[in-house]
Amino acid sequence: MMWSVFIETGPASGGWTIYPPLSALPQAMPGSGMGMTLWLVSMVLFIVSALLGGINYIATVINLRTKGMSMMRLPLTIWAFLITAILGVLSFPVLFAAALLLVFDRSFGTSFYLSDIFIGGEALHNSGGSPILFQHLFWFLGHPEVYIVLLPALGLASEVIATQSRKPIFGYKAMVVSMLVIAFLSFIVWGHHMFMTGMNPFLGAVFTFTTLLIAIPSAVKVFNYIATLWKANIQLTPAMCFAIGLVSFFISGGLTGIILGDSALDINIHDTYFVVAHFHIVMGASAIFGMFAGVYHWFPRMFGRMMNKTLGYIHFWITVIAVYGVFFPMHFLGLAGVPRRYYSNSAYESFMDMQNINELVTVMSMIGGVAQLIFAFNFFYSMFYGKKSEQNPWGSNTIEWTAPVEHLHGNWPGEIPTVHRWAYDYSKPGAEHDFIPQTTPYSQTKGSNLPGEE
Amino acid sequence: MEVNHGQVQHAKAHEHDHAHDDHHHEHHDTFWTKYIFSQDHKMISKQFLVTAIVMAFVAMGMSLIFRLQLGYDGQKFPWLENIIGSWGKDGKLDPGFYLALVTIHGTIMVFFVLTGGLSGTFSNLLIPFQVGARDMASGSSTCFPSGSSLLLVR
Repeated sequence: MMWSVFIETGPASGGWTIYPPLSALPQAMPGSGMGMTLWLVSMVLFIVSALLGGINYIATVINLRTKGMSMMRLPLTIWAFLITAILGVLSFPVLFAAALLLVFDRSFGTSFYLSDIFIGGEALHNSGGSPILFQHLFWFLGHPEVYIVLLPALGLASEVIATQSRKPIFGYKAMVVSMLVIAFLSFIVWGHHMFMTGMNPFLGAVFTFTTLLIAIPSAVKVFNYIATLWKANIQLTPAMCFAIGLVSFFISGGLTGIILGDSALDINIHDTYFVVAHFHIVMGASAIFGMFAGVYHWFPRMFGRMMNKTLGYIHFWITVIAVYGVFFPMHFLGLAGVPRRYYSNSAYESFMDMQNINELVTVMSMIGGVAQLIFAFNFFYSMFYGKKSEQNPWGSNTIEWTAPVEHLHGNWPGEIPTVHRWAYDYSKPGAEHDFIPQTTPYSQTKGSNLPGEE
Repeated sequence: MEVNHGQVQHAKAHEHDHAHDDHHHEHHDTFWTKYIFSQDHKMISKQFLVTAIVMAFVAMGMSLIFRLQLGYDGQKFPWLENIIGSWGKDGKLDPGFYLALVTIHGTIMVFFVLTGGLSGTFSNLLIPFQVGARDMASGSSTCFPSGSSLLLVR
């Protein structure tokens, strides 16, 4: 796909959702020719690799757990990755099918997605399909895809928040169950992307209902994060800052999600900047912040060195202000009716008032963009010249910190450690330290054992 | 493939000096076997992470270019022509290329950074580490996703 930037007609330009007919007719616009073909090729390769990876993740989690690591002792990160992989394996084949049919339409004269289309007064010889079919197929992947992006970020945040709060995660079982419920519900809400396709209003009400149901497990997760932070001994490392930032974005993006998920409200702000603001905050910024939290937290595990803390704080504060500075004003643009994907807003008299908001957004995005250079510098500099890390710099319970700092094949030099407890025994009353690694048997912590823990 | 090739050569070298009895089983990793066609989950996760960071910068740069058009509509930025060539003639972004930038920004960010990069990096790094496994269930099938996301998909 990157090659397509360098070809004469330019890369695919029908929007990232590649709706037909813009994507199905090579003559529709310049990017619909070679650019679209390269897009499809790269996406097919990506899907194959995502499927292979997903199967591998599932097989590893189910089959290769060490002694004592029962499913309910898994850290929440692993639960999140497992559920993500299952979502991917179930939903990516649908995108594969959609892309394959699109290839047929483009190259072999079929008409899965092409209805009666006239080009220059002449009817297209292949007709009779429906572009709505593509939207159904795309969004059947597209909505689970949102959670494929979000769940790993939430999993990483769970781990970071519990570790840096020095407290057990609040409601471990509720977290697992809510992730499973989110995963299930994500397959029956795709219609909320399509309220404007002329679907039966009753069907719209059904999709509104299932969509708003997702608010429940999402709220369970948010309240559990807040309860974990409540009265905790918070260690504000850069990773923790980013994890809290994720929770903040998840809340503010989730609230606009309730508005968009309601078909009666969505019809008014469909395809405006309100939508852009919503999904950039809840999916873009949240997931990126989860990724940053993960990088700052596990950098010592990956490279055996620490990242610079001060640069981490600077990066965090500029980024969080820039993200809100970019996407918060977009809500107002959207409520005023500014449509997304338009090249020039000043061509319309009614949008001229909005131009100063657009300018603010652009300035903020530039600031945010420059702040990422700080991260890139910090990342690549620390990789080679960072302070050497200790064995377990964050005082974490999970067993990856018992493996030697130097990477070796097979991870542990001798036996694989045996696991005796769950991953969240932080600040247990009566314990010697404020954390008890998963490898410590209950027989060594007589003072802190709860009833039933021998 | 590359990995096997390296091992075969290594084994041949061993046959040659069979007279010596010092069988050291060290792997002599070349640059290719260590960094590009690795089957070690830690190295694969690093490949994913570095790829994701590079792709994120590419996609972010695209978003900055089209934000410039949206924020300062009608103004001219002659330096734009140096970056994107004929797409930015006279310092104005081409409308068709604007649509392309929006499309590719979305696709790269959603699929290659947030799906491939986030999941690929941390699933590969943490699943074996946190469940207590020597490596992933199938080394070569993790190698393919990372290899393809690194070389082909881009």
